Amino acid sequence: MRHLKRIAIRLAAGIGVLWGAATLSFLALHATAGDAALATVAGDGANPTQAVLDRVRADYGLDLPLHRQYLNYLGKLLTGDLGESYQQRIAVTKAIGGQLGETVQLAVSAAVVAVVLAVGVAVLTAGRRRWIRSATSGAELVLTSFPTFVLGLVLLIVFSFQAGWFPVSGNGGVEALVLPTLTLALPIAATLSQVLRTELEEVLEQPFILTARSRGMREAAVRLGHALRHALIQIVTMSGFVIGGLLGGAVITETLFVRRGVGQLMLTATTTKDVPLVLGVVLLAATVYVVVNLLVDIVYGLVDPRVVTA
Amino acid sequence: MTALSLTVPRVSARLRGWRVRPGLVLGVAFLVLLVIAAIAPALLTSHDPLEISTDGAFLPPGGDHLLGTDQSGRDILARMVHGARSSLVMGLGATAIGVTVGAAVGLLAGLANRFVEGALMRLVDVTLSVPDLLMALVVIALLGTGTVNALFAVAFASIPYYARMLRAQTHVVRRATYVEAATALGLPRWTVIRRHVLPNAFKPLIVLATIGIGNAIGAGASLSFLGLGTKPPAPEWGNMLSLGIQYISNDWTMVAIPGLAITLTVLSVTVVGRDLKRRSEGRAV
Amino acid sequence: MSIRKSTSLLAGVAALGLLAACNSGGTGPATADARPAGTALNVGGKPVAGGTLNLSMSADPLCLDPHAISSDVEQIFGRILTDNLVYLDKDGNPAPWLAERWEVSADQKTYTFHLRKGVTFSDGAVFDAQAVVTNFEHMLDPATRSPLAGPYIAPYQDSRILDPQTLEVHLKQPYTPFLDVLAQGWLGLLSPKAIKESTPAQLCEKPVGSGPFVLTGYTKNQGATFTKRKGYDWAPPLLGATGEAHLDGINVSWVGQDAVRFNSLASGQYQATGYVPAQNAAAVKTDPKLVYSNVNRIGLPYTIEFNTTRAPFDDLKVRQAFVAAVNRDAIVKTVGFGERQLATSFVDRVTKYYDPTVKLPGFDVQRANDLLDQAGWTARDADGYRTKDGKPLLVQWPVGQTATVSPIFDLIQAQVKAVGIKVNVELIPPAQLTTRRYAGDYDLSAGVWHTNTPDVLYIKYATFSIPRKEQLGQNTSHLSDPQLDAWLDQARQTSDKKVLADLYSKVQQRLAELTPGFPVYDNSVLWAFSAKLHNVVVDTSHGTPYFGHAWLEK
Repeated sequence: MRHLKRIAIRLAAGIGVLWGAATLSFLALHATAGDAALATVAGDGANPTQAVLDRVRADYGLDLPLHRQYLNYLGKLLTGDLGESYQQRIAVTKAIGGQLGETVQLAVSAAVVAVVLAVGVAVLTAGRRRWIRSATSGAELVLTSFPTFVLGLVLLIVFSFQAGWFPVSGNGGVEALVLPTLTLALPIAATLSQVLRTELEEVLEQPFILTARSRGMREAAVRLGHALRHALIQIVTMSGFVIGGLLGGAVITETLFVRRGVGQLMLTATTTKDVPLVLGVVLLAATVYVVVNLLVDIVYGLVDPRVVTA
Repeated sequence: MTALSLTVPRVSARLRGWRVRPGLVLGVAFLVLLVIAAIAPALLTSHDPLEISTDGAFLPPGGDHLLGTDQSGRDILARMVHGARSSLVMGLGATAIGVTVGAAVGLLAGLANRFVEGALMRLVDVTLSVPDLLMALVVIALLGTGTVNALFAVAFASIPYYARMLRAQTHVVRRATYVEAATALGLPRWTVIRRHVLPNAFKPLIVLATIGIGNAIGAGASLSFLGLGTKPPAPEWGNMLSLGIQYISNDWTMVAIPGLAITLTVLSVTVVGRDLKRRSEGRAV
Repeated sequence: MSIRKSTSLLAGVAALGLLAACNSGGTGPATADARPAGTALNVGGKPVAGGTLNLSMSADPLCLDPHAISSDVEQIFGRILTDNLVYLDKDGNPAPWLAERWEVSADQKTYTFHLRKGVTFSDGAVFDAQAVVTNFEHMLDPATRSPLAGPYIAPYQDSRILDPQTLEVHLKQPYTPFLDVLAQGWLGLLSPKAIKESTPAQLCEKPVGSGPFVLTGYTKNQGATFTKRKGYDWAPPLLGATGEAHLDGINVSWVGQDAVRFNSLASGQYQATGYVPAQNAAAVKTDPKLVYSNVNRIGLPYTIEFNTTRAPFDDLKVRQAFVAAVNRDAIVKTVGFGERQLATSFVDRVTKYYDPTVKLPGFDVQRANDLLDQAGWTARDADGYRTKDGKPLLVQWPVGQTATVSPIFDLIQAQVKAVGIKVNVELIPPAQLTTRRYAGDYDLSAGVWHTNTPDVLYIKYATFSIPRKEQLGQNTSHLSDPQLDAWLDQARQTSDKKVLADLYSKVQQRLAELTPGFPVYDNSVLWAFSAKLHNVVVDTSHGTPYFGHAWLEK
């Protein structure tokens, strides 16, 4: 009961966060210079007539006072209508939906690779000889220091431009996913495995491990069995970091590898002042954030009933 | 600049252990080089980073131009050296702003009543829920491109992280026995905060901020890479890198050099930051 | 042409200088009487049917209705998906396509088109006079949001259908470029059924044409697929070949990064690319697996324009000084990688009525300094920039924010600094750039304007084209000269070639005197394709590839 109530409160707060994020973005976008109607029809070599411009203003209510535009937006939002993208002339939900799959695919594959790599490296190297640990932590350090775009560029140049092992660009198939996935996964994996190894080394010194070993349990089984349990808790703890890293890195990765996706969508929408589309992406990101936090909270509540976060 | 004065003396005091950690020494050495480049670029290069020569484009490394020239015939070494300042200013400036504002918000939340704390942390949630890059894009759209504005954008995005961290730390410190003892002794609230809570809450923040400098440099370079940072023709590494990509088939060094510099800088800052962290946690070096 | 287009252009969309090279060899510079347009490239061999062409393009126009976009993608897509009433011949004169012939009334206001029989759109709709009227109305409907097609036929008044194959079109005033513009990709004809049954937004997603290929799939920001139109038999007669396309289809992908687009072409991931970055041209030319084409385009060269309505460029002397301070040869050399040709007039040298005798002033620092002294900018500030009445000689140059800013801005900034002019290059998001452009809030702007007639000079320099409250316009220099207006108006009213040659020559000479800006290099389009792809034709209006008769070696 206490849990349910807590979750209900968090859910309400989450909706508040969504509203706050949408409002903040709405105000910020409108405060930036630039006429959205002009940006929509009068860019790129265009020579439209005034009638076209007036029509666009009327169609999107851009001729209304700002507070009316805001209320209209909120009103539609309550009915689940995110509006129409100015640039793409399709529903925002459709515009995002068309790109979401690609970003999710990239993010999920990167998350899986990162977690598997991190757990694998941590399990294999924790408490091992000094040089193994130094070499691994050195590699981890270098990887965490690579800004996403530099790492991606190195991979792109070495494995695609030079070696020709992977396609240079695009969204076609598994091969095209390899380099972007690594770009996104490696720095996250490096950070995760550092944390995991430290955790693991502490666990391996615990009395119950000694007990397990003395009972004749094999080292591999000890590490995998006990380590993985602890690893999972760490991964849950760090899921916020992981998801943040995935979202932030996705924009750069998509730009670099010329993949379509939500990151690319957001970049162009912001610079062309496609307000409904930007707000749609903001709401999506905020929803992910709220849901993840809620899930972490629930999982914690299940794992450790004492945990109560503000 | 505060963060710099905090790190440098600490680092020099630790040079005793340099035999043990060559990585740390290399990191410090690279940072010293950067600081020299930022303060007195003329010591490292005699070329003007803006001087254009339409006859001398894409010269290979060597001779008068140690690292070659770019598409406008500008000396790449000079641009790298002069670009160091903008990277350091970005790292230190954005972190300083992020830490200051973030600490103020976090401290306030950690010390205030539940209502204020709740409101502040929901605000932090709102800013965290909007992707960093979008925040940066909007800040830049509001203020325009340029080094200073990109700095604000990076700083703004880092505020919520510092705020959360300091709030959590404040909670921990407040519950610590020595603080409860001080309160029990009847010391005034503000005195307890000033004498016990602040110093203990800030210690890990400084360590985190050192590592944050590296992240800020990386983030600033990312913005420039996307065309949102320093305005041309001012030399800036992220900018040089994204221009270099265009000419990668003509001259790969235009990509390799700034890419290496950015990575080494972030790496060096991280190495130093990690070392500080280890020492502050009292762990073996 | 907008400033935004200029940045994409500099990102490698176009370059210039060479004739269409029939293979990697390349040829000498283009001249006015040797147009590559209409030439077939990589000919020879016996055509085989089948195969899909993978084509990479730089950016998704986000809408594929040719009437609703201004993207240069349409120059290529138009020839894939749609047909036009007319097609330009090699000399740039209108020739038959879906209109077999036409008559123009003596007052130049009534055009009677005799339409081809037996043409159908891919949804089964029949091509007839009513279809053409529906298209004109669609172009002009504000709901279409037409940025080019509609404005190009702005003088259209109404039509009278004499019979299904005969259409009488009435213009509000004489407008002789009418026939030329009808040949442009943006004015390709769509199925009247599709126009009637879709909203403009839906038509963006799925336009239906009568062209050699049919749009079968479109994923925004990813790509579009086209398949061969069965039974197609109405290509422009000038192109010689008839019948269905050899290719089974064309798969288009958007690849935004120049370096990536080049590398994926070289690696064979794509068999053709719409735009090759100039810096990669040399590598493409030496690659025996690739065929390279660099074709000049009709219209305004890449031109840097002054805002002539505000200080400091309201003063002719300051404009002339700026031009004298700029070393155009050096710039063209640096940004063109040998692929761009110095512009010599306010129209590209392949434009009809281009005047080769126009003298644009050259690089002369001494003259620049003298002119600035005469204009009163005699004092200098601490940084060495000129001042007048305490104000520095500062010019604002807003430029589209992109990761790949052209070196041209840096170069000009550095060159004019030598005579004491300070250029402030401002990188701003596209939305702000467009707004400032129409507000006239800039001192310098840059860009090309590609159309297929010398009427580009009206679009760019007539008083009528100055952006103002009631209308948008492309006269970014805000030049207003009664003499120029008179000639440009007359040129729109006559089809007499001698008179036109005289008028456009006078206009070009006058522009060189008035200095509303300075053309830097001729606008050419640079593309490449696999040597296995044969018989790719250079389009006469746009200089872009036409794949209607192309075939792919197995």
